[in-house]
Amino acid sequence: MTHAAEEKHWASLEVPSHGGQVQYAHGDIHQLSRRRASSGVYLRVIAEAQALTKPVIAELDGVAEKILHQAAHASARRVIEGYWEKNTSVMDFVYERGKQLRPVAPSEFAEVVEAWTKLFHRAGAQLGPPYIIQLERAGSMGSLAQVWDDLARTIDTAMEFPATARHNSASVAAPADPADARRTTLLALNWPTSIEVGRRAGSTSRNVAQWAKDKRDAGQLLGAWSSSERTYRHPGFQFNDDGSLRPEVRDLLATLAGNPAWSNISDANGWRRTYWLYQPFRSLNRRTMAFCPNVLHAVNDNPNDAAAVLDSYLLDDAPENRVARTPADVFAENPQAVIAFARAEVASALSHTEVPPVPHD
Amino acid sequence: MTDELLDRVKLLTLWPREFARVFQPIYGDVLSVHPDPPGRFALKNDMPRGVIGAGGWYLGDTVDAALWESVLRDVEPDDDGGVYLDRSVLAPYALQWVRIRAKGEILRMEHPARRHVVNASNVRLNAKWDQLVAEDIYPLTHVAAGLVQLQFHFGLMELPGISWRSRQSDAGIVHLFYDPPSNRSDWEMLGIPVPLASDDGIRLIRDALTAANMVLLTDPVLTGGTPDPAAL
Repeated sequence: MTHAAEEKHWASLEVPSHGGQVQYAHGDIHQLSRRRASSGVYLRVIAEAQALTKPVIAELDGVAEKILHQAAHASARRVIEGYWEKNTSVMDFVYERGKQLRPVAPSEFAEVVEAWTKLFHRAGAQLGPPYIIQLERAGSMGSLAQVWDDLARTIDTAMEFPATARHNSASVAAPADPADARRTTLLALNWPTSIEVGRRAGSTSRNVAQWAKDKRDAGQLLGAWSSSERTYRHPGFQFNDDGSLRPEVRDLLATLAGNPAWSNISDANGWRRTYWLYQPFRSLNRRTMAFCPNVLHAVNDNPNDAAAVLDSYLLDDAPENRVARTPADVFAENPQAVIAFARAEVASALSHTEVPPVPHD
Repeated sequence: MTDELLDRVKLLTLWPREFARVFQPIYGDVLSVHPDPPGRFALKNDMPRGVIGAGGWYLGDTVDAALWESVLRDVEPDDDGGVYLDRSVLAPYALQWVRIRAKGEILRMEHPARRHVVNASNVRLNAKWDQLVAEDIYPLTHVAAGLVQLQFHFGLMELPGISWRSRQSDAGIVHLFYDPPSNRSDWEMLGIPVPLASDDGIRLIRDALTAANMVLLTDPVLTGGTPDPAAL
Protein backbone atom coordinates (compact mmCIF):
# COMPACT_ATOMS: atom_id res chain seq x y z
CA MET A 1 0.00 0.00 0.00
CA THR A 2 1.37 3.39 -0.88
CA HIS A 3 1.38 6.42 1.34
CA ALA A 4 -1.23 8.10 -0.89
CA ALA A 5 -3.71 5.37 -0.20
CA GLU A 6 -3.27 5.86 3.52
CA GLU A 7 -4.27 9.52 3.43
CA LYS A 8 -7.57 10.35 5.12
CA HIS A 9 -9.76 10.66 2.06
CA TRP A 10 -12.37 8.03 2.75
CA ALA A 11 -15.90 8.27 4.04
CA SER A 12 -18.01 5.41 5.25
CA LEU A 13 -21.57 4.56 6.17
CA GLU A 14 -22.07 1.58 8.47
CA VAL A 15 -25.50 -0.06 8.67
CA PRO A 16 -26.07 -2.61 11.47
CA SER A 17 -28.59 -5.38 11.00
CA HIS A 18 -29.68 -5.55 14.62
CA GLY A 19 -31.48 -2.26 15.10
CA GLY A 20 -28.61 0.06 16.00
CA GLN A 21 -28.00 3.46 14.45
CA VAL A 22 -26.24 4.04 11.18
CA GLN A 23 -22.77 5.50 11.65
CA TYR A 24 -20.77 7.80 9.42
CA ALA A 25 -17.03 8.23 9.63
CA HIS A 26 -14.17 9.79 7.73
CA GLY A 27 -10.58 8.72 7.83
CA ASP A 28 -8.04 6.15 6.84
CA ILE A 29 -9.28 3.25 4.72
CA HIS A 30 -7.79 0.66 7.09
CA GLN A 31 -9.52 2.21 10.06
CA LEU A 32 -12.86 2.35 8.26
CA SER A 33 -12.70 -1.20 6.94
CA ARG A 34 -11.26 -2.74 10.11
CA ARG A 35 -13.06 -5.83 11.32
CA ARG A 36 -14.73 -4.93 14.58
CA ALA A 37 -18.07 -6.71 14.87
CA SER A 38 -18.48 -8.79 18.03
CA SER A 39 -21.91 -9.94 17.00
CA GLY A 40 -24.38 -9.23 14.24
CA VAL A 41 -23.94 -8.13 10.64
CA TYR A 42 -22.75 -4.80 9.33
CA LEU A 43 -23.02 -3.43 5.84
CA ARG A 44 -20.48 -0.72 5.06
CA VAL A 45 -20.44 1.62 2.09
CA ILE A 46 -16.99 3.20 1.71
CA ALA A 47 -16.08 5.85 -0.83
CA GLU A 48 -13.36 8.31 -1.64
CA ALA A 49 -14.30 11.69 -0.22
CA GLN A 50 -12.27 14.68 0.84
CA ALA A 51 -14.64 15.51 3.68
CA LEU A 52 -17.71 14.14 5.37
CA THR A 53 -20.12 16.70 4.03
CA LYS A 54 -23.87 16.47 3.68
CA PRO A 55 -23.64 15.72 -0.05
CA VAL A 56 -21.22 12.89 0.71
CA ILE A 57 -23.57 11.52 3.37
CA ALA A 58 -26.46 11.74 0.92
CA GLU A 59 -24.38 9.87 -1.65
CA LEU A 60 -23.53 7.08 0.80
CA ASP A 61 -27.18 6.87 1.87
CA GLY A 62 -28.22 6.61 -1.76
CA VAL A 63 -25.85 3.75 -2.49
CA ALA A 64 -26.97 1.82 0.62
CA GLU A 65 -30.60 2.31 -0.29
CA LYS A 66 -29.98 1.24 -3.85
CA ILE A 67 -28.22 -1.94 -2.83
CA LEU A 68 -30.69 -2.88 -0.14
CA HIS A 69 -33.90 -1.82 -1.82
CA GLN A 70 -33.96 -0.94 -5.45
CA ALA A 71 -33.01 -2.53 -8.70
CA ALA A 72 -29.67 -3.76 -7.46
CA HIS A 73 -31.41 -5.65 -4.68
CA ALA A 74 -31.85 -8.99 -6.32
CA SER A 75 -28.57 -9.04 -8.20
CA ALA A 76 -26.58 -7.78 -5.21
CA ARG A 77 -28.06 -10.45 -3.02
CA ARG A 78 -27.29 -13.11 -5.55
CA VAL A 79 -23.64 -12.11 -5.68
CA ILE A 80 -23.36 -11.90 -1.92
CA GLU A 81 -25.28 -15.12 -1.36
CA GLY A 82 -22.48 -17.22 -2.82
CA TYR A 83 -20.03 -15.88 -0.28
CA TRP A 84 -22.56 -15.93 2.54
CA GLU A 85 -22.99 -19.65 2.18
CA LYS A 86 -19.24 -20.13 2.63
CA ASN A 87 -19.54 -18.61 6.10
CA THR A 88 -16.98 -15.94 5.20
CA SER A 89 -16.66 -13.38 8.02
CA VAL A 90 -15.79 -10.39 5.82
CA MET A 91 -16.86 -9.91 2.24
CA ASP A 92 -15.60 -7.02 0.11
CA PHE A 93 -17.20 -5.94 -3.15
CA VAL A 94 -16.85 -3.18 -5.66
CA TYR A 95 -20.03 -1.44 -6.69
CA GLU A 96 -20.50 0.85 -9.66
CA ARG A 97 -23.88 2.30 -10.47
CA GLY A 98 -25.64 0.30 -13.15
CA LYS A 99 -23.31 -2.65 -12.72
CA GLN A 100 -23.32 -5.79 -10.64
CA LEU A 101 -21.39 -6.12 -7.41
CA ARG A 102 -17.91 -7.42 -8.10
CA PRO A 103 -16.25 -9.42 -5.33
CA VAL A 104 -12.76 -8.40 -4.27
CA ALA A 105 -10.54 -11.04 -2.76
CA PRO A 106 -8.73 -10.06 0.45
CA SER A 107 -5.44 -10.38 -1.41
CA GLU A 108 -6.62 -7.81 -3.97
CA PHE A 109 -8.11 -5.34 -1.53
CA ALA A 110 -4.97 -3.24 -1.05
CA GLU A 111 -4.34 -3.14 -4.78
CA VAL A 112 -7.87 -1.98 -5.52
CA VAL A 113 -7.70 0.74 -2.88
CA GLU A 114 -4.41 1.98 -4.25
CA ALA A 115 -5.75 2.13 -7.79
CA TRP A 116 -8.78 4.13 -6.67
CA THR A 117 -6.67 6.49 -4.64
CA LYS A 118 -4.64 7.33 -7.74
CA LEU A 119 -7.81 7.88 -9.71
CA PHE A 120 -9.25 9.99 -6.92
CA HIS A 121 -6.31 12.37 -6.81
CA ARG A 122 -6.14 12.62 -10.58
CA ALA A 123 -9.83 13.51 -10.70
CA GLY A 124 -9.47 16.41 -8.30
CA ALA A 125 -10.68 14.67 -5.14
CA GLN A 126 -14.32 14.51 -6.10
CA LEU A 127 -16.45 11.79 -4.58
CA GLY A 128 -17.21 9.33 -7.26
CA PRO A 129 -17.93 5.76 -8.02
CA PRO A 130 -16.99 3.01 -7.59
CA TYR A 131 -17.70 2.23 -3.97
CA ILE A 132 -16.41 -0.45 -1.64
CA ILE A 133 -19.22 -2.49 -0.16
CA GLN A 134 -18.24 -4.51 2.85
CA LEU A 135 -20.34 -7.05 4.69
CA GLU A 136 -19.02 -8.20 8.02
CA ARG A 137 -20.61 -10.78 10.26
CA ALA A 138 -19.77 -12.23 13.64
CA GLY A 139 -21.42 -15.23 15.21
CA SER A 140 -23.85 -17.65 13.68
CA MET A 141 -26.33 -15.86 11.47
CA GLY A 142 -29.58 -16.85 9.89
CA SER A 143 -30.41 -16.65 6.23
CA LEU A 144 -29.12 -13.82 4.10
CA ALA A 145 -32.72 -12.94 3.21
CA GLN A 146 -33.50 -12.27 6.88
CA VAL A 147 -30.31 -10.25 7.39
CA TRP A 148 -31.02 -8.29 4.22
CA ASP A 149 -34.46 -7.32 5.48
CA ASP A 150 -32.97 -6.25 8.83
CA LEU A 151 -30.38 -4.09 7.10
CA ALA A 152 -33.07 -2.53 4.91
CA ARG A 153 -35.16 -1.75 7.99
CA THR A 154 -32.22 -0.03 9.68
CA ILE A 155 -31.52 2.19 6.69
CA ASP A 156 -35.24 2.98 6.35
CA THR A 157 -35.40 4.10 9.97
CA ALA A 158 -32.30 6.25 9.54
CA MET A 159 -33.71 7.94 6.45
CA GLU A 160 -36.69 9.15 8.47
CA PHE A 161 -34.38 11.64 10.21
CA PRO A 162 -33.07 14.66 8.29
CA ALA A 163 -29.52 14.53 7.02
CA THR A 164 -28.55 17.31 9.44
CA ALA A 165 -29.47 15.26 12.47
CA ARG A 166 -27.49 12.31 11.17
CA HIS A 167 -24.60 14.57 10.35
CA ASN A 168 -24.55 15.72 13.98
CA SER A 169 -24.03 12.20 15.25
CA ALA A 170 -21.03 11.74 17.51
CA SER A 171 -19.43 9.31 15.12
CA VAL A 172 -19.03 11.94 12.43
CA ALA A 173 -15.45 13.11 12.14
CA ALA A 174 -14.41 16.62 11.18
CA PRO A 175 -14.10 17.27 7.47
CA ALA A 176 -10.64 16.86 6.00
CA ASP A 177 -10.48 20.03 3.93
CA PRO A 178 -9.93 22.86 6.39
CA ALA A 179 -10.14 25.50 3.66
CA ASP A 180 -13.89 24.87 3.66
CA ALA A 181 -14.25 23.28 7.08
CA ARG A 182 -15.74 26.32 8.79
CA ARG A 183 -18.83 26.20 6.60
CA THR A 184 -19.34 22.49 7.28
CA THR A 185 -18.83 23.00 10.99
CA LEU A 186 -21.23 25.93 11.16
CA LEU A 187 -23.93 24.20 9.14
CA ALA A 188 -23.71 21.29 11.57
CA LEU A 189 -24.89 23.67 14.30
CA ASN A 190 -28.36 23.18 12.90
CA TRP A 191 -29.20 26.86 12.61
CA PRO A 192 -32.88 27.53 11.90
CA THR A 193 -34.21 27.42 8.38
CA SER A 194 -36.52 30.09 6.96
CA ILE A 195 -39.54 28.06 8.00
CA GLU A 196 -38.26 27.69 11.55
CA VAL A 197 -37.39 31.38 11.78
CA GLY A 198 -40.86 32.31 10.53
CA ARG A 199 -42.56 30.02 13.02
CA ARG A 200 -40.53 31.38 15.90
CA ALA A 201 -41.48 34.88 14.85
CA GLY A 202 -45.14 33.86 15.00
CA SER A 203 -45.77 34.33 11.30
CA THR A 204 -49.31 33.30 10.41
CA SER A 205 -48.69 33.49 6.69
CA ARG A 206 -49.48 30.42 4.61
CA ASN A 207 -45.93 30.63 3.37
CA VAL A 208 -44.24 30.93 6.72
CA ALA A 209 -40.72 31.00 5.18
CA GLN A 210 -41.52 34.29 3.45
CA TRP A 211 -41.05 36.13 6.75
CA ALA A 212 -37.34 35.24 6.83
CA LYS A 213 -36.87 36.14 3.18
CA ASP A 214 -38.47 39.54 3.73
CA LYS A 215 -36.19 40.17 6.70
CA ARG A 216 -33.11 39.10 4.73
CA ASP A 217 -34.07 41.33 1.82
CA ALA A 218 -34.61 44.23 4.23
CA GLY A 219 -31.14 43.74 5.73
CA GLN A 220 -32.50 42.73 9.12
CA LEU A 221 -31.49 39.07 9.08
CA LEU A 222 -28.41 37.26 7.80
CA GLY A 223 -28.87 33.98 5.99
CA ALA A 224 -26.14 31.52 5.06
CA TRP A 225 -26.92 29.43 2.01
CA SER A 226 -26.81 25.65 2.43
CA SER A 227 -26.10 24.22 -1.00
CA SER A 228 -26.92 20.66 -0.08
CA GLU A 229 -30.30 21.60 1.38
CA ARG A 230 -31.05 24.33 -1.18
CA THR A 231 -32.18 26.65 1.58
CA TYR A 232 -30.86 29.32 3.91
CA ARG A 233 -29.76 28.67 7.47
CA HIS A 234 -29.67 31.62 9.85
CA PRO A 235 -26.71 32.05 12.22
CA GLY A 236 -27.86 31.56 15.79
CA PHE A 237 -26.28 34.65 17.36
CA GLN A 238 -29.04 36.74 15.75
CA PHE A 239 -31.75 35.35 18.00
CA ASN A 240 -32.77 35.80 21.62
CA ASP A 241 -33.29 32.73 23.77
CA ASP A 242 -37.01 32.80 22.95
CA GLY A 243 -36.20 32.66 19.25
CA SER A 244 -37.09 36.27 18.50
CA LEU A 245 -34.81 38.28 16.22
CA ARG A 246 -32.47 40.67 18.02
CA PRO A 247 -33.14 44.25 16.88
CA GLU A 248 -29.42 45.12 16.85
CA VAL A 249 -28.87 42.71 13.95
CA ARG A 250 -30.20 45.35 11.58
CA ASP A 251 -27.52 47.88 12.68
CA LEU A 252 -24.81 45.24 12.46
CA LEU A 253 -25.77 44.23 8.92
CA ALA A 254 -26.10 47.88 7.86
CA THR A 255 -22.61 48.52 9.19
CA LEU A 256 -21.15 45.48 7.43
CA ALA A 257 -22.86 46.52 4.20
CA GLY A 258 -20.67 49.63 4.27
CA ASN A 259 -18.05 47.33 2.82
CA PRO A 260 -19.15 46.66 -0.77
CA ALA A 261 -17.84 43.09 -0.49
CA TRP A 262 -20.29 42.41 2.34
CA SER A 263 -23.55 43.54 0.82
CA ASN A 264 -26.53 41.28 0.12
CA ILE A 265 -25.58 41.44 -3.56
CA SER A 266 -21.84 40.72 -3.51
CA ASP A 267 -22.22 38.28 -0.62
CA ALA A 268 -25.42 36.66 -1.84
CA ASN A 269 -24.78 33.35 -0.12
CA GLY A 270 -23.99 35.16 3.14
CA TRP A 271 -20.84 33.22 3.88
CA ARG A 272 -18.31 36.08 3.75
CA ARG A 273 -20.13 37.84 6.57
CA THR A 274 -20.76 34.58 8.38
CA TYR A 275 -17.09 33.59 8.19
CA TRP A 276 -16.08 36.99 9.57
CA LEU A 277 -18.66 36.80 12.34
CA TYR A 278 -17.30 33.41 13.39
CA GLN A 279 -13.59 34.33 13.08
CA PRO A 280 -11.84 34.48 16.49
CA PHE A 281 -10.13 37.84 17.07
CA ARG A 282 -7.67 38.56 19.86
CA SER A 283 -8.88 42.13 20.17
CA LEU A 284 -12.30 40.80 21.21
CA ASN A 285 -10.97 39.02 24.28
CA ARG A 286 -12.49 40.11 27.58
CA ARG A 287 -9.34 41.82 28.84
CA THR A 288 -8.88 44.00 25.77
CA MET A 289 -12.55 44.91 25.60
CA ALA A 290 -12.60 45.91 29.27
CA PHE A 291 -9.67 48.27 28.80
CA CYS A 292 -10.53 51.95 28.89
CA PRO A 293 -7.91 54.29 27.36
CA ASN A 294 -9.10 57.06 29.67
CA VAL A 295 -7.27 55.28 32.48
CA LEU A 296 -3.98 56.12 30.78
CA HIS A 297 -4.90 59.69 29.94
CA ALA A 298 -5.77 60.26 33.61
CA VAL A 299 -2.25 59.41 34.77
CA ASN A 300 -0.27 60.84 31.89
CA ASP A 301 0.95 63.85 33.82
CA ASN A 302 3.16 61.68 35.96
CA PRO A 303 5.38 59.00 34.37
CA ASN A 304 5.49 57.12 37.67
CA ASP A 305 1.70 56.86 37.73
CA ALA A 306 1.65 55.76 34.09
CA ALA A 307 4.24 53.08 34.87
CA ALA A 308 2.17 51.88 37.82
CA VAL A 309 -0.95 51.58 35.67
CA LEU A 310 1.08 49.77 33.04
CA ASP A 311 2.30 47.30 35.68
CA SER A 312 -1.19 46.70 36.99
CA TYR A 313 -2.46 45.74 33.54
CA LEU A 314 0.52 43.59 32.67
CA LEU A 315 0.08 41.69 35.93
CA ASP A 316 -3.55 40.92 35.09
CA ASP A 317 -2.84 37.52 33.71
CA ALA A 318 -6.15 35.65 33.97
CA PRO A 319 -5.89 33.32 30.94
CA GLU A 320 -9.63 33.11 30.42
CA ASN A 321 -9.74 36.86 29.84
CA ARG A 322 -7.19 36.58 27.06
CA VAL A 323 -9.02 34.01 24.97
CA ALA A 324 -9.84 35.27 21.48
CA ARG A 325 -13.57 35.53 20.77
CA THR A 326 -15.65 35.80 17.65
CA PRO A 327 -17.99 38.72 16.91
CA ALA A 328 -20.84 36.21 17.15
CA ASP A 329 -19.68 35.25 20.67
CA VAL A 330 -19.53 38.85 21.81
CA PHE A 331 -22.80 39.92 20.18
CA ALA A 332 -24.90 38.13 22.80
CA GLU A 333 -23.52 40.24 25.64
CA ASN A 334 -22.43 43.43 23.90
CA PRO A 335 -23.90 44.00 20.43
CA GLN A 336 -22.79 47.63 20.36
CA ALA A 337 -19.16 46.59 20.78
CA VAL A 338 -19.48 44.22 17.83
CA ILE A 339 -21.07 46.94 15.73
CA ALA A 340 -18.17 49.27 16.63
CA PHE A 341 -15.68 46.52 15.78
CA ALA A 342 -17.42 45.97 12.44
CA ARG A 343 -17.36 49.70 11.77
CA ALA A 344 -13.60 49.79 12.33
CA GLU A 345 -13.09 46.75 10.11
CA VAL A 346 -15.17 48.30 7.32
CA ALA A 347 -13.32 51.62 7.65
CA SER A 348 -10.02 49.78 7.41
CA ALA A 349 -11.17 47.92 4.31
CA LEU A 350 -12.17 51.18 2.68
CA SER A 351 -9.08 53.12 3.78
CA HIS A 352 -7.24 52.60 0.52
CA THR A 353 -9.91 54.53 -1.33
CA GLU A 354 -11.03 57.17 1.14
CA VAL A 355 -7.92 58.46 2.93
CA PRO A 356 -5.88 61.00 0.99
CA PRO A 357 -2.22 60.09 0.52
CA VAL A 358 0.39 61.69 2.73
CA PRO A 359 3.09 63.61 0.83
CA HIS A 360 6.51 62.03 0.79
CA ASP A 361 9.40 63.53 2.72
CA MET B 1 12.99 56.42 38.92
CA THR B 2 10.42 53.61 39.34
CA ASP B 3 9.18 54.04 35.80
CA GLU B 4 12.35 52.85 34.09
CA LEU B 5 11.91 50.07 31.59
CA LEU B 6 15.62 49.67 30.90
CA ASP B 7 18.55 48.97 33.20
CA ARG B 8 20.68 51.12 30.94
CA VAL B 9 20.20 53.16 27.78
CA LYS B 10 22.14 51.89 24.80
CA LEU B 11 21.69 51.59 21.04
CA LEU B 12 23.11 48.75 18.98
CA THR B 13 24.28 48.74 15.40
CA LEU B 14 21.94 47.76 12.63
CA TRP B 15 24.07 46.51 9.76
CA PRO B 16 23.06 47.00 6.11
CA ARG B 17 20.57 44.33 5.15
CA GLU B 18 17.12 43.66 3.72
CA PHE B 19 13.72 43.76 5.39
CA ALA B 20 10.14 42.99 4.42
CA ARG B 21 7.50 45.60 5.05
CA VAL B 22 3.71 45.45 5.00
CA PHE B 23 2.49 48.96 4.32
CA GLN B 24 -0.51 50.88 3.12
CA PRO B 25 0.24 52.45 -0.27
CA ILE B 26 -2.33 55.13 0.52
CA TYR B 27 0.27 56.68 2.81
CA GLY B 28 2.93 56.69 0.12
CA ASP B 29 5.58 54.24 -1.05
CA VAL B 30 7.26 51.61 1.07
CA LEU B 31 9.77 54.15 2.38
CA SER B 32 7.04 56.46 3.69
CA VAL B 33 6.07 56.28 7.32
CA HIS B 34 2.59 55.73 8.67
CA PRO B 35 1.82 59.17 10.15
CA ASP B 36 -0.11 57.87 13.16
CA PRO B 37 0.45 54.14 13.55
CA PRO B 38 -1.89 52.31 15.93
CA GLY B 39 0.49 49.36 16.32
CA ARG B 40 2.85 48.09 18.97
CA PHE B 41 5.29 50.56 20.62
CA ALA B 42 4.07 53.55 18.63
CA LEU B 43 4.99 56.89 20.18
CA LYS B 44 2.07 59.20 20.97
CA ASN B 45 2.35 62.83 21.99
CA ASP B 46 2.30 63.28 25.77
CA MET B 47 1.70 59.66 26.49
CA PRO B 48 2.97 60.07 29.17
CA ARG B 49 3.56 63.81 29.49
CA GLY B 50 6.72 64.94 27.67
CA VAL B 51 6.77 62.22 25.05
CA ILE B 52 7.19 63.39 21.47
CA GLY B 53 4.94 61.45 19.14
CA ALA B 54 6.24 60.05 15.86
CA GLY B 55 5.19 58.23 12.76
CA GLY B 56 6.04 54.57 12.52
CA TRP B 57 7.77 52.28 10.10
CA TYR B 58 7.42 48.58 10.84
CA LEU B 59 9.76 46.08 9.18
CA GLY B 60 10.20 42.34 9.49
CA ASP B 61 13.36 40.41 8.80
CA THR B 62 11.15 37.75 7.20
CA VAL B 63 7.93 37.92 5.23
CA ASP B 64 6.20 35.87 7.92
CA ALA B 65 7.27 38.27 10.67
CA ALA B 66 6.04 41.23 8.63
CA LEU B 67 2.69 39.56 8.02
CA TRP B 68 2.18 38.31 11.57
CA GLU B 69 2.85 41.73 13.05
CA SER B 70 0.41 43.41 10.69
CA VAL B 71 -2.53 41.78 8.92
CA LEU B 72 -2.34 38.50 10.86
CA ARG B 73 -1.76 39.90 14.33
CA ASP B 74 -5.41 39.93 15.44
CA VAL B 75 -6.63 36.59 14.09
CA GLU B 76 -6.60 33.21 15.79
CA PRO B 77 -7.38 29.89 14.13
CA ASP B 78 -10.72 28.18 14.64
CA ASP B 79 -10.90 24.60 15.90
CA ASP B 80 -10.09 23.29 12.43
CA GLY B 81 -7.06 25.57 12.05
CA GLY B 82 -8.92 27.85 9.67
CA VAL B 83 -8.34 31.61 9.46
CA TYR B 84 -10.59 33.91 7.48
CA LEU B 85 -9.19 37.14 6.07
CA ASP B 86 -11.60 38.82 3.74
CA ARG B 87 -9.89 40.03 0.60
CA SER B 88 -11.47 43.44 1.02
CA VAL B 89 -9.81 43.79 4.42
CA LEU B 90 -6.45 42.96 2.85
CA ALA B 91 -6.96 45.37 -0.04
CA PRO B 92 -5.32 48.42 1.62
CA TYR B 93 -2.06 46.53 2.19
CA ALA B 94 0.98 45.60 0.16
CA LEU B 95 4.30 43.93 0.93
CA GLN B 96 7.67 45.00 -0.40
CA TRP B 97 11.32 44.46 0.45
CA VAL B 98 13.62 47.34 1.39
CA ARG B 99 17.35 47.55 2.11
CA ILE B 100 19.23 49.82 4.48
CA ARG B 101 22.41 50.98 2.70
CA ALA B 102 24.28 52.44 5.64
CA LYS B 103 24.51 51.10 9.13
CA GLY B 104 22.02 52.48 11.62
CA GLU B 105 21.20 52.19 15.32
CA ILE B 106 18.28 50.71 17.17
CA LEU B 107 17.20 49.61 20.65
CA ARG B 108 17.21 45.83 20.52
CA MET B 109 14.81 44.06 22.87
CA GLU B 110 15.13 40.55 21.47
CA HIS B 111 17.23 37.99 23.29
CA PRO B 112 20.19 37.83 23.70
CA ALA B 113 20.81 41.41 22.53
CA ARG B 114 18.36 42.56 25.21
CA ARG B 115 21.06 41.90 27.81
CA HIS B 116 22.76 45.13 26.74
CA VAL B 117 19.85 47.10 28.19
CA VAL B 118 18.10 44.74 30.62
CA ASN B 119 20.18 42.57 32.92
CA ALA B 120 19.49 38.88 32.51
CA SER B 121 19.16 38.71 36.29
CA ASN B 122 16.37 41.30 36.28
CA VAL B 123 13.57 38.78 36.12
CA ARG B 124 10.81 41.31 36.79
CA LEU B 125 11.83 43.63 33.98
CA ASN B 126 12.44 40.81 31.51
CA ALA B 127 9.00 39.43 32.29
CA LYS B 128 7.51 42.85 31.67
CA TRP B 129 9.14 43.08 28.26
CA ASP B 130 8.07 39.55 27.41
CA GLN B 131 4.50 40.63 28.06
CA LEU B 132 4.85 43.89 26.18
CA VAL B 133 5.97 42.23 22.96
CA ALA B 134 2.84 40.04 23.10
CA GLU B 135 0.44 42.62 24.56
CA ASP B 136 -2.98 42.82 22.88
CA ILE B 137 -3.79 46.26 24.31
CA TYR B 138 -1.65 48.49 22.15
CA PRO B 139 -2.16 51.70 24.17
CA LEU B 140 -0.24 49.97 26.96
CA THR B 141 2.70 49.44 24.61
CA HIS B 142 2.43 53.10 23.59
CA VAL B 143 2.91 54.06 27.23
CA ALA B 144 5.88 51.69 27.45
CA ALA B 145 7.49 53.18 24.33
CA GLY B 146 6.86 56.64 25.74
CA LEU B 147 8.55 55.73 29.02
CA VAL B 148 11.53 54.40 27.07
CA GLN B 149 11.76 57.61 25.06
CA LEU B 150 11.70 59.66 28.28
CA GLN B 151 14.49 57.49 29.65
CA PHE B 152 16.53 58.09 26.49
CA HIS B 153 15.88 61.83 26.70
CA PHE B 154 16.99 61.76 30.34
CA GLY B 155 20.28 60.37 29.03
CA LEU B 156 20.34 63.04 26.30
CA MET B 157 19.82 60.46 23.56
CA GLU B 158 17.21 60.01 20.87
CA LEU B 159 15.25 56.79 20.43
CA PRO B 160 15.38 55.98 16.69
CA GLY B 161 13.49 52.68 16.92
CA ILE B 162 12.92 49.39 18.73
CA SER B 163 13.35 45.80 17.58
CA TRP B 164 11.92 42.69 19.23
CA ARG B 165 11.37 39.06 18.49
CA SER B 166 7.87 38.69 17.20
CA ARG B 167 5.67 36.78 19.61
CA GLN B 168 3.34 36.24 16.68
CA SER B 169 6.06 34.60 14.61
CA ASP B 170 8.87 33.43 16.85
CA ALA B 171 11.35 32.94 14.05
CA GLY B 172 11.23 36.58 13.00
CA ILE B 173 12.39 39.89 14.38
CA VAL B 174 10.31 43.02 13.98
CA HIS B 175 11.84 46.48 13.73
CA LEU B 176 9.97 49.71 14.35
CA PHE B 177 11.63 52.91 13.21
CA TYR B 178 10.27 56.24 14.29
CA ASP B 179 9.87 59.10 11.89
CA PRO B 180 12.36 60.19 10.77
CA PRO B 181 14.28 56.98 11.42
CA SER B 182 17.18 58.13 9.31
CA ASN B 183 17.83 59.81 6.04
CA ARG B 184 15.46 58.44 3.40
CA SER B 185 18.38 58.15 1.03
CA ASP B 186 19.91 55.58 3.39
CA TRP B 187 17.19 53.18 2.26
CA GLU B 188 16.30 51.70 -1.09
CA MET B 189 13.21 49.97 -2.37
CA LEU B 190 13.62 46.48 -3.78
CA GLY B 191 11.34 44.98 -6.39
CA ILE B 192 7.74 46.07 -6.61
CA PRO B 193 4.94 46.07 -4.05
CA VAL B 194 2.84 42.91 -3.85
CA PRO B 195 -0.78 43.84 -3.06
CA LEU B 196 -1.89 41.44 -0.35
CA ALA B 197 -5.32 40.97 -1.92
CA SER B 198 -3.72 39.83 -5.20
CA ASP B 199 -3.07 36.18 -6.02
CA ASP B 200 0.61 36.62 -5.16
CA GLY B 201 -0.27 38.33 -1.89
CA ILE B 202 -2.75 35.63 -0.94
CA ARG B 203 -0.05 33.06 -1.64
CA LEU B 204 2.29 34.80 0.83
CA ILE B 205 -0.39 34.83 3.50
CA ARG B 206 -1.31 31.23 2.83
CA ASP B 207 2.37 30.24 3.14
CA ALA B 208 2.75 32.11 6.44
CA LEU B 209 -0.33 30.36 7.83
CA THR B 210 0.74 26.99 6.51
CA ALA B 211 4.07 27.35 8.31
CA ALA B 212 2.01 27.60 11.51
CA ASN B 213 -0.22 24.64 10.56
CA MET B 214 -3.09 26.99 9.81
CA VAL B 215 -5.21 27.29 6.70
CA LEU B 216 -6.45 30.38 4.91
CA LEU B 217 -10.13 29.78 4.27
CA THR B 218 -11.24 29.97 0.67
CA ASP B 219 -13.31 33.00 -0.31
CA PRO B 220 -16.79 31.56 0.38
CA VAL B 221 -18.33 33.44 -2.50
CA LEU B 222 -16.47 30.96 -4.68
CA THR B 223 -17.28 27.84 -2.70
CA GLY B 224 -20.44 28.55 -0.73
CA GLY B 225 -22.83 27.99 -3.60
CA THR B 226 -25.21 30.23 -5.47
CA PRO B 227 -28.63 30.67 -3.89
CA ASP B 228 -31.66 29.84 -5.98
CA PRO B 229 -33.26 33.14 -7.03
CA ALA B 230 -36.62 31.99 -5.71
CA ALA B 231 -35.26 30.40 -2.56
CA LEU B 232 -37.03 31.31 0.62
